[in-house]
Amino acid sequence: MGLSNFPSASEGVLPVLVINTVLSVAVLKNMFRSMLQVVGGSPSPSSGANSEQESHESSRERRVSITQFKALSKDIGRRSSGSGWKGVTMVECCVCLCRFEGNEEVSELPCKHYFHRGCLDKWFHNKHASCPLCRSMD
Amino acid sequence: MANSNLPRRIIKETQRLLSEPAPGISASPSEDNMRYFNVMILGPTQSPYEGGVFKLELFLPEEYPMAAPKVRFLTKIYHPNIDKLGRICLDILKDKWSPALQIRTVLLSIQALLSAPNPDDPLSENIAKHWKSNEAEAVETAKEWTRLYASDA
Amino acid sequence: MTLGSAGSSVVVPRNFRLLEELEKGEKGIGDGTVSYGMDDGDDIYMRSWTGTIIGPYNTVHEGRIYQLKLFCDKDYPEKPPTVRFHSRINMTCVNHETGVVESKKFSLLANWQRRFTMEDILTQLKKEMAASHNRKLIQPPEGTCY
Repeated sequence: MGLSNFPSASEGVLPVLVINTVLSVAVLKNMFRSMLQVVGGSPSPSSGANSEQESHESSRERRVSITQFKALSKDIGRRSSGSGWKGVTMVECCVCLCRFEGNEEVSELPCKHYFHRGCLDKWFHNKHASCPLCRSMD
Repeated sequence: MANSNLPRRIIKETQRLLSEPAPGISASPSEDNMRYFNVMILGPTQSPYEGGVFKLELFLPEEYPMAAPKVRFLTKIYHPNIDKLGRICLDILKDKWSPALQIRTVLLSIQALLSAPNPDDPLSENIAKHWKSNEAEAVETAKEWTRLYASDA
Repeated sequence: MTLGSAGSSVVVPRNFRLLEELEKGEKGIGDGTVSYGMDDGDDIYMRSWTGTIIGPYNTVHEGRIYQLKLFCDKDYPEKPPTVRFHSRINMTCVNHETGVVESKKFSLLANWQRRFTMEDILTQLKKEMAASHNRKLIQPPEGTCY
């Protein structure tokens, strides 16, 4: 009855590490892609050079605009002064229930709902593509 | 130990649940595990569960709020969308989960499910059949079970 | 932002842990040589379980089907379940009169950790059947029970 009696114990660790690594890589990848989006202003993911996993993921790619909260609030003010746009300012991110601070990065979806950038990224990385608030998939 | 690194969202939700409880619902975290809640839901008026106090347990998995809370009834209940083990068939607990939902909204949805059983999407086949073939009788059974199992929690 | 579960402090409470194990058991495990399910579908506390092990190849157990009873008390999984063979078997860690798996002689139970599951117990017992001290022991007639 030596160590050989604990295969489940020792085997259990490796998959966890692998999963962690995969998660971290995925997060880094997304951060990189988000930066590209900010710089290029383009909704399409970078193409060509990346692996097939990348193109697989891109089927879930969402159009997200990333800005600082203070800039977004100003923009919302402008939108609501013109006709058409509904300018509702949310003070709290519904994912983490924390207030938006002026210099925090927020991600806005085409349905005009916005979240902390990190909060929305986490949701999208959990294999979801819908808006947390209205479930729209645009 | 189990309560270290509790995400701020869970702390906030818990505080709000305790300070502004939803009508007919109580949820309090267990002392040794702040992710594990003891829940009571009062049977909604004008439902077969009226007058009953239903005990549930709720657990916030590690992925919460990216994954739904896990909830089940501990009190026996005759309902087409709840099985013998108290597991609940409710879309927001599965594929319709969203991180904008909270413990409070989940429990309100469960309360609403008691008012509006849905035998077309059953978890307990037999109860659903009963509901569809003879609703009046099924409702009577549900009332009877409420008296038997949920009247003194 | 916290990532991953290494060194996680999240403790899955007993009932939700057993529901997870139930669902996994219903889906079926690996090559199907070990399986388990709940005995009483009405028991909200999910205490009594039946496990099955198909005897491993190249041993005296080959082709035999062993049934076991596992009992998960209120303190599971902090404490291991009690494990008892229902089918008669001759094995060093099994009490000859009662079929109980003696934790002193079965290190998975003796060194129990919260993350171990009923699947681990059954898989480990199957490995134990194939261990050198068990694989050639004379066995009681097939199909007899304690």
